[in-house]
Amino acid sequence: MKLRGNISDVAPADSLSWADVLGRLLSDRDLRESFCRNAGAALEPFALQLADKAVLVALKPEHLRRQAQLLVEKRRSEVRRFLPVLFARLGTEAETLFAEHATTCWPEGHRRHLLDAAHFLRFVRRRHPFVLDGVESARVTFLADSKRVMSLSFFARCSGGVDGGPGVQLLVRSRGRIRQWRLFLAWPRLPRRSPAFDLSRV
Amino acid sequence: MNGKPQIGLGYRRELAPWLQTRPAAVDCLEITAEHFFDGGETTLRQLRDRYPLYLHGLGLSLGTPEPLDEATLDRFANVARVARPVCVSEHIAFTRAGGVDLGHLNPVPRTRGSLATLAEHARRVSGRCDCPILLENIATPLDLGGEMDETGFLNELCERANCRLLLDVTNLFINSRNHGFDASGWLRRIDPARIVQLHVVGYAVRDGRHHDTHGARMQDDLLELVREVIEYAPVQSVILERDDRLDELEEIGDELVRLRSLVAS
Repeated sequence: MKLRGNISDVAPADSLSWADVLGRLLSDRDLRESFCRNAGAALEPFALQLADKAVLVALKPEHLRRQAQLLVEKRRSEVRRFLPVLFARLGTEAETLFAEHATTCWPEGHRRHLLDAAHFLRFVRRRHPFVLDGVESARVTFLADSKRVMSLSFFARCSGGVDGGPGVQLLVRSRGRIRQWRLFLAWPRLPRRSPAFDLSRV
Repeated sequence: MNGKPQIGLGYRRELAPWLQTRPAAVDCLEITAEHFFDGGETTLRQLRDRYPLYLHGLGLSLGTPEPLDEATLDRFANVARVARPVCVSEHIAFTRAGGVDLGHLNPVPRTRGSLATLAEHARRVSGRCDCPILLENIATPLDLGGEMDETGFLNELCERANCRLLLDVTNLFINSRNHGFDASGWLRRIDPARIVQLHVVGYAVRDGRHHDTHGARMQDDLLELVREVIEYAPVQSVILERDDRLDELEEIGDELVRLRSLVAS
């Protein structure tokens, strides 16, 4: 998971391109706002070639902010697919929370949306530990992990006649699919197996 | 071009049961390469045995002025090896720069430098996959400007990269509305021979701006632009690029029928 660092950690200052700096402007809210106030001053620390600097200086602040917002919205939309219950419970607060989370990490690679979801779970847990759905959280955590087997305790809310209460969930990764079983401990019940789901999307 | 354009769909796991029934509305499928980076070769083989496949990339970041990420390219090429697509496609954009994976498509400046970068990367991907590559236009609120206008840039890019265009009609429509230009005029400045594949999906309007949410029904004004493109260029396939509301199978089927009626008329 990529956290915030100095751009000079990535590449020597004399080799930065318009793309390096634009990537930073789109992902670093503080730098972006500084740029929107005074583009020339904000770009000064980056030893850009004149042509690249000209490209960036000409950016319209409103358009830059919109593109940055679009990136976060796209990420939020993808993460919501993994965490529909959480997003439903967060309601209107989901947008604000995700925007705050999105400033602190930028997951990489083809699993970025799943990793984003796992990291957002941890972020929300620190603030609203009781809003998480145990079953959903366990599934996303397991998907993002590389283990073949995971067992977790959970507490599921009763909802619409569906079982609630404490339990143990067992997840097994096998042949590109995840199988899960849930044993509710509050009442004597047989382990309940949920339909297996495909890993091909993640 | 022989015959009418094929009508296809972006393959998503949720659609697999429906596609097993071999709906008549689907001629071909577009596969998102990243969805198969961690497996699914059996599914890919089954799909390629039933449908012509087009392989679409999201994260190669052709516009980044650095070497391509070799690990990502290896995975992409491996999916191409299994899928045996008619062609591969990627975007005229960058997703990765400055040590950050931005996770979505961002525009490039329309400069000679960008042309060189995109052309080199496109040829490299095409060579690794041993099949033609198409390059796709994106929707963005950000215009980086440059030495030429967008249509001139696209024409020259296709020439230098020896490739053709995947014209995302929805993205063109959205950009024309948000940036205030005439989509038909834009279209007429593109070399028609370059446009061989289309993406289309309904757009959304929010706060007075158009957005590509990949989940709405195709609107009449959008379909009118699709019709115009098909009359103008030798389009070989049209892909309905739905990413949301994938449980609305009847609606998706209707959308495909609408596209088929459009290309037949």
